[in-house]
Amino acid sequence: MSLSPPPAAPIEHLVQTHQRSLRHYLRYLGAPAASVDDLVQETFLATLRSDFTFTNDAAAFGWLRTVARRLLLQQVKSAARRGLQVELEAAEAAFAAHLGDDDGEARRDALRACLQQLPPRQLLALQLRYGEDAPLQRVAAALAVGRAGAESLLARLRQRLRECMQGRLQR
Amino acid sequence: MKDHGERLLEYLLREHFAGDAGDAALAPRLRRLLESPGAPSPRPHVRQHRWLRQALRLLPWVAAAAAVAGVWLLQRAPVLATAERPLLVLTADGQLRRTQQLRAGDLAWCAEAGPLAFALAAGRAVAEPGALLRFEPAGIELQAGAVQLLPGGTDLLARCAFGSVRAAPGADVRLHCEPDAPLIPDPLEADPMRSLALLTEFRSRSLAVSLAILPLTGTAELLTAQGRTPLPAGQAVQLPPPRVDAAALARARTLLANLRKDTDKLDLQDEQNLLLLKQVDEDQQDLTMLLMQQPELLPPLREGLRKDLAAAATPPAVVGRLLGIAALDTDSSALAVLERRWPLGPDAFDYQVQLAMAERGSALVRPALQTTMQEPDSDLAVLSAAALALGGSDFGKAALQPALAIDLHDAADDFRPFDRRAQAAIGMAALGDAQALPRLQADLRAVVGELLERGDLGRAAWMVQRAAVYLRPSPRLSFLQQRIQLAAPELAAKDVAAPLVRSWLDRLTR
Repeated sequence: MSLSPPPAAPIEHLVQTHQRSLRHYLRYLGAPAASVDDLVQETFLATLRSDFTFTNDAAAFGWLRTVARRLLLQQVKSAARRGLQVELEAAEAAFAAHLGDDDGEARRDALRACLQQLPPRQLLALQLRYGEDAPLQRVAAALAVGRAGAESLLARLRQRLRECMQGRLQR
Repeated sequence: MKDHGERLLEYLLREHFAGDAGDAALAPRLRRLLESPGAPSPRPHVRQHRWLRQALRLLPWVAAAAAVAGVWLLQRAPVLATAERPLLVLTADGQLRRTQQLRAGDLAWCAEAGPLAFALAAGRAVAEPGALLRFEPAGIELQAGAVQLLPGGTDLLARCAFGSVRAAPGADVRLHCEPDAPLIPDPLEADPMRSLALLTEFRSRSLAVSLAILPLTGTAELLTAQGRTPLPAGQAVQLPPPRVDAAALARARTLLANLRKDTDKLDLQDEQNLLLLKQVDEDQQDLTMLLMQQPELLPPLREGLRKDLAAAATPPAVVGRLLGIAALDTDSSALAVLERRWPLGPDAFDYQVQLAMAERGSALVRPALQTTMQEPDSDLAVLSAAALALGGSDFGKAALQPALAIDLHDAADDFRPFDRRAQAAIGMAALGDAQALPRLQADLRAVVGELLERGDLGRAAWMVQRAAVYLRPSPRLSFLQQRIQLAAPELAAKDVAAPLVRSWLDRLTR
């Protein structure tokens, strides 16, 4: 990896625009929650020290994703690396397809519409799990159900959301 | 491993639900790392003082926003309690947020795995996971779950459906309130709800609760419609839900249906309708008295009232009648229904409904009630001020203080000065004057004692009957005439006996 030239876009802009998405992307790839912050910092640092040239935000996010995948791969022992690399590339292909031409906006709209149909308790479960990264035990306590109940509820919710989004996207 | 579709959905959910999870210090940290020895220096493409210039450009907007925020903060209800950690709160205006500061009408749901402590003016309350608490100026309302009361310098009051527990300083009292409906409706079978009103559905379903009390140490008492019961330390008390009388419920439903139907038919321009108007008034009075006598009939009527009051199509005349019935319901969800209706037409809220809302802490009706206080010595001024005080507002304190000086000897021939004195005492007690009620009790004992000695049973009896409303635990000032009629009807009998009056007097002034 080259150490020069320096970045062509302001660091603040790059961080402000992509930090959150990069965190979610690393979680999507399966990075442990505890290591996400370190990986995000390393990704930006490696990008800024590389020959990355800023052209637009979409390209910058693509660059950052590539660096993030490599860094995630480096954390894994060499024996398992090959299999993971295949998995990560497949995940990236699915992710790029998800972004599509509109940067994933249609899916976001569909999700928002589907979430509006959910009763408060289900929204609470999603807020705790995905908004606050709460462990299943805490979600279960909040819903006054067992751990298995919370897991089952979240799984059914995801299934319901997927079906709802699919229906909306096919219209 | 989850498929990509599933993981993409989780990505979108994190993106949607996570707030600004970013690390604000990351950019400066990256800059320092890049500038550290061994690393190339970044190109100075960020012009110096650019952020400062941007900040200066935004300064007027920031100042305006701060001014708006300041006004908003001043208008907000005062903080009644502070939680040790942020928790999910449904605010009185229907907003769902995570906060540590609880205001009047806020409904807090202790959704965490461990106990959660609240600091209140009167001490501490520690809620168990799953507890549902509503905060009121007078104390807390436990709607479901378990809570531990640890009063500090003054008594701590906790209400639960049909009973209240008053814990004295130094006491340690555990309460467990069990709803008969599940706390949360089944998630996947429930109809979609667009609103984030967290537990509206639960509360509309919840018909009754059972209340278990365990005073571990110190002094506590149970306050119910039947009176006060001391709670000895170490002795658990279990109160089952009151049984709903099916015949009374059927009667209430019929009266309510008639009220809706007949009010809608009324055309006050037509003289032929005067008979119908009289009938409607009688139905409303009968229903009011029935629900005051048997408040356990209110929960089954709650959902119908809520729907009618929420519907834009409900005729204004019907709305006015229904508001008078909904205002009898002390459940917090009923107050929320009234508050949601207020912006659609405050004119439909008559004075008694405004009093009922004010005494329960609603800030919406305060300006309307304050206009009734323009004549400080009038009966309405003291009544309004006292109701505001019960709801935590000291706006009418100036109207209450002079009424405390009314001599009950002068009130023996006229109940109005008697009422003003009693209402002022209740209001001032709610505002923290610990002597206001004991002084009223002492004066009442003295004056009624003199009347009884003179054989003036009539005056002694009406005075005690009115005092029975004012000196009951957690007094209410709305619908006062009906409350007085129901408080001690035996005292209004023509052949009332002196021992009965004395017995009531002892009960009220001990």
